[in-house]
Amino acid sequence: MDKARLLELGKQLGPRLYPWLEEWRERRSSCRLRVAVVGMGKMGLLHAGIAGLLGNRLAAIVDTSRLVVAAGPRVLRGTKFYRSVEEMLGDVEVDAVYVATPPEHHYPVLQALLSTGYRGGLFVEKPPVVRWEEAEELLGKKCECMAGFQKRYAAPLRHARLLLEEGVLGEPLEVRATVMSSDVMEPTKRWDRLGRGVLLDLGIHVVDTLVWLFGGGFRVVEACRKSVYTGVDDYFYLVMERRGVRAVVEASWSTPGYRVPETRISIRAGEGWLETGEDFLRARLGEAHWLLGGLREAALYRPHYYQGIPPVNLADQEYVFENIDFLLSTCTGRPAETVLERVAETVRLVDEAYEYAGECREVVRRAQGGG
Amino acid sequence: MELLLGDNPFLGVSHLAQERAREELREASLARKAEVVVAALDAGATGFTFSAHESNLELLEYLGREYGVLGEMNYYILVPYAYGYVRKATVMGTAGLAAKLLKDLVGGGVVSAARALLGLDVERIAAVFIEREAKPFLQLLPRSRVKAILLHEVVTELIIAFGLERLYERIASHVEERIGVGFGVETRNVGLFQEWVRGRRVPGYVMTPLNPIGYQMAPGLREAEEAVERLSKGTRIIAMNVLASGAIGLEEALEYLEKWRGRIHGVAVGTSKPWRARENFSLLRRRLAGK
Repeated sequence: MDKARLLELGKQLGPRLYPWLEEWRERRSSCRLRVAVVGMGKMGLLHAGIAGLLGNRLAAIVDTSRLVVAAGPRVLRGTKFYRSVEEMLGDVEVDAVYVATPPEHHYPVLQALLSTGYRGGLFVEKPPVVRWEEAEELLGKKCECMAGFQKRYAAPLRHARLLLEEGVLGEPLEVRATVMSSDVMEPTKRWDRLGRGVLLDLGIHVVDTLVWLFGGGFRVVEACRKSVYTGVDDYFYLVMERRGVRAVVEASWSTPGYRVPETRISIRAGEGWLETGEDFLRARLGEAHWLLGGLREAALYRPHYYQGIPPVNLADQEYVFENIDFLLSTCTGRPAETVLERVAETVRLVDEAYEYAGECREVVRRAQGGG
Repeated sequence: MELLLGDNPFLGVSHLAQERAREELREASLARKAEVVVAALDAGATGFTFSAHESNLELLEYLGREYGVLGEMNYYILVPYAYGYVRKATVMGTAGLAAKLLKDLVGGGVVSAARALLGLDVERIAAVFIEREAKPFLQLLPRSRVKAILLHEVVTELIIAFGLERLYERIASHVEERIGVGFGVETRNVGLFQEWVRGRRVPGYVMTPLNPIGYQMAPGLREAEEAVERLSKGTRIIAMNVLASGAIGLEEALEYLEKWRGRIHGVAVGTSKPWRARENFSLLRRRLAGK
């Protein structure tokens, strides 16, 4: 395949995939925020790091860990540390808050923030809540919090959405999606209290990506779960349906051979075929199309899309774009792409899947290439 | 010029696509990895840059035992192996992981670690942690051949993001003065790093992506090039990701790198195949090292 043509396509796609990037560049010097992080685990650290690289100040950290609160001020000398959001908001002014606690604390922390009258930017890591009722309640309170579904910001997946939106592939006929990782390869009780496992932690990304790619309208028709190392689901099999088209989803965090979690979505449609994930897109069409660089068949990877973007690097590029959307939306007041209202169907479907699921008699299909 | 073999394919790391990395990792038996290193050396590689991962320790022990080549190359050790800690944090929780690390470093239980922390210098603990991560490699490799300990990009980026000047200074002086090897950083934010380090202690080495399409060169191709240009006047630049993770060919990468001759100290390239190691390093040697 013509390398130069694919690189040119990647460059051309940039403004289509990230239409607000230019606005952020123009506003970045005036959009410098005081941010706070609730829950300074690895995701809190990641978001705080990206926000810092983008020119914002980490004003406050809330964490219940004595270790974090004791050690933190000795390293982050300009940042204030607190044990609760109420304590923080009573003492310091912040423009944006990242909630990155363990999932079971998302809802109470969001409740606490809303009850103080906080009206700044609000970001909550995925899953935004554990159960659908919690989402309903937050929506009732007009919570405009952004949920951390960063896959929606991955260029290959945004490219896939563009192909679907433009009707280049024709009507979808069959959808298969997997998310696999080797994150849990030994017994742990860490998720027992939460009562939900891989579907809520990882599978929710795939469910959300499918909802977003196809514009929603799914319902759960089949689901089962299996435990391997934990007291919750280490493997989840889910079938959803939309306008007569079935989408089969598999999620596992106990499949050997994955250094990092990997998403793979395959779509067979009337006029083509597409396979994509967070770091690639392969498509074959009935006819050549400019969205594939004037080709009928193409394979694009991260370097094709991310030429000179994003403007900072920390972890995968999608996290940076997600943070730019959040910070820009906080500055401008326009809703971010993944505000709770826009991800509500995802939360509902995952909740339904747990309600529906029995024990899998066997792991239905092994991850492709996962050993 | 240093022509360095990188270890990403040995660890299942690909910035192109993870599915490719998994394929490479499946091929990467210990013997095969050793063949890659030896092929690279035969073709003109001058060193090996690698993460402080136990599989690399195993590889180096094997290379010493089976091929006796440890004294024939230079080493640039990336510390810590951040992804290993990310995975541990998933299972243990970040606070749990931090407590365990502290316990390992200062001894005693979690409570005594937390107490120790109150009385101790956190920057010193971080410096000791870096030394502990590098120690097995420092014990194995000829010391004169260990050219630098490089801070893993995740640590470097967080130092820039939070302005952790004291932490940076402490680690740098610990590496250079106490351990007695060169200090460097790996960064994918070379533009920001160049601004941040102005007026501060400049590291001996900066390892950063350098390719004609600007992949992983932040804040953008032109600005990153300018930053590398400026940094090259006071530090040794090691170019990495020169093939833009495979999106461009070696010839295109070489044409681009030739423009940087005299301003870059080294180039790092990884592969999981002995024949490709031979091919790539022969070309790199001829075109960049002029041999």
